[in-house]
Amino acid sequence: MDINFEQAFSFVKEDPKWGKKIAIGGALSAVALFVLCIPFMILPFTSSVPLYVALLATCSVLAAAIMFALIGYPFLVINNRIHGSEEFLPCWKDFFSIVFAGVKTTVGHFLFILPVLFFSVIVLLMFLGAFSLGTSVISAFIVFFGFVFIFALIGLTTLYSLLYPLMSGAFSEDMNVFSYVNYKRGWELLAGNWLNYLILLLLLVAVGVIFHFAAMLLVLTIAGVILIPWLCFYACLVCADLVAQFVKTK
Amino acid sequence: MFELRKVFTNPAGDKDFGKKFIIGSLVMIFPVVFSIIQEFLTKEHTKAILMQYTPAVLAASVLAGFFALVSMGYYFQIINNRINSSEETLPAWKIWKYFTIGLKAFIGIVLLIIPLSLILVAVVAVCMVLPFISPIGPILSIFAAVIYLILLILLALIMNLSFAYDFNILSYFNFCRAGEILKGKVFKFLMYIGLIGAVSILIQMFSFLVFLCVGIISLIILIPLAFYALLLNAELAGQFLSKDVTKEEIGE
Repeated sequence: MDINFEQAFSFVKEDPKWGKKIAIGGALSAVALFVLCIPFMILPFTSSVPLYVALLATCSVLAAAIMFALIGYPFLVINNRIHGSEEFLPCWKDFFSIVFAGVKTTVGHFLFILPVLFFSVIVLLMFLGAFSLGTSVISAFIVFFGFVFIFALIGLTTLYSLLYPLMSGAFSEDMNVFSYVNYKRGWELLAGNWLNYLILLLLLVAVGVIFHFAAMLLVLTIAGVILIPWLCFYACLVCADLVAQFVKTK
Repeated sequence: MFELRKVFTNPAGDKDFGKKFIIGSLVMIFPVVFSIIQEFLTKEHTKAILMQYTPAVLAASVLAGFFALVSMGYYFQIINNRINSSEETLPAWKIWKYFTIGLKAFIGIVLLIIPLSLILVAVVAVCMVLPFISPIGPILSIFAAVIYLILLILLALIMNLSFAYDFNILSYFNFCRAGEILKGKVFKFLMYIGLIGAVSILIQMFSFLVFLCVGIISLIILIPLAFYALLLNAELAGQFLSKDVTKEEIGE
């Protein structure tokens, strides 16, 4: 079974209420950005600090909830596509369950990138240590190894970005936070299926190129900028279907 | 639509794949080697630009260009084979023939770009000079340049495909054929752009990883990788131009 690029662009139409769901998804993306901007827009006109802090906290919580929902939504779509649900686009009425899926995705993602974060902290500590030692031979030695570690860190980040779709697929199968670091499951998906994974990577990057190109055209029309949140949301769904197709090829 | 599995496996399906691949990689090494030689030979301390180009530097530049055009010609020959449904997946190496094709493509693309560049210069000049639009002239110029760049990339891509049909320089100006190529295939063309962009980005990522792992020795791996990317791009272009086989035709 091959990954079908064309299907990824048209699959949303198979859902009975696709128009409404995508419209809400795009609108929420726009609202999240707007909510984040409110405190900065209000700042010049307010003098009460407690009121401003309350507003800042409310806006932050609201924006975070919407962001979690937008993060979780594509992963729920992958899950539904893998398990063959007829209504694979989750209904926005279940907002809190989508937010919960987003929280799980974020925690899983954090676990996945934990080694990279750990490595980054080591590099940071090396440089801080070297600077605190001043100009000495040991300091120069640490700085040299710090730069070697920076290159290693860049390599590790590249490797992780290549593995990210694989582990996302593993996570989306059961929506278990620890599936993000279940490398055994990742390997099971990859073994004997590496050509499909290569195709998946190619297609995900191609989707990025196509939607960047589309966004650039919208920017050139100036008024079209308003449509970018919907475009991004649709791009996420296209990527979600590609990952689901990859998992199903196994 | 695109059969992506074939994009990766088709080149390796040729009976003389190993031999042709090694020759291709060697041909791609030469432009790099001669460019490095040229850099070493160039006298940086010489202030006059023309004085920097000694006969040895010029020879190195010409040789680098020669082999770059050979690779280009080979790329177009693969696309042409795919259009004509030739059984030969990878064409046999005929250096002089591919150099001629590559040279024609180079001349064609330069002739296509020069008039368009003059139009852009004229538009920018108008934006800057005319008094009633000069306050927003720089912004308009940037917009014009971006639109020009997008159009130029799209035009160059589509006219390259038109050239691959008959290797005729005039095919770079055969806009009717370009229209026929695009007819009913705009979405497929968009996918084609995305895919060639993706091939380039992924190859760069892999190259970067290889470079980080083995350093300068990575050149031994990167040149064949670049040749493989050329094969992938040619296969994608070939698939874009070849007729879509319907389910009825394959008997499903």
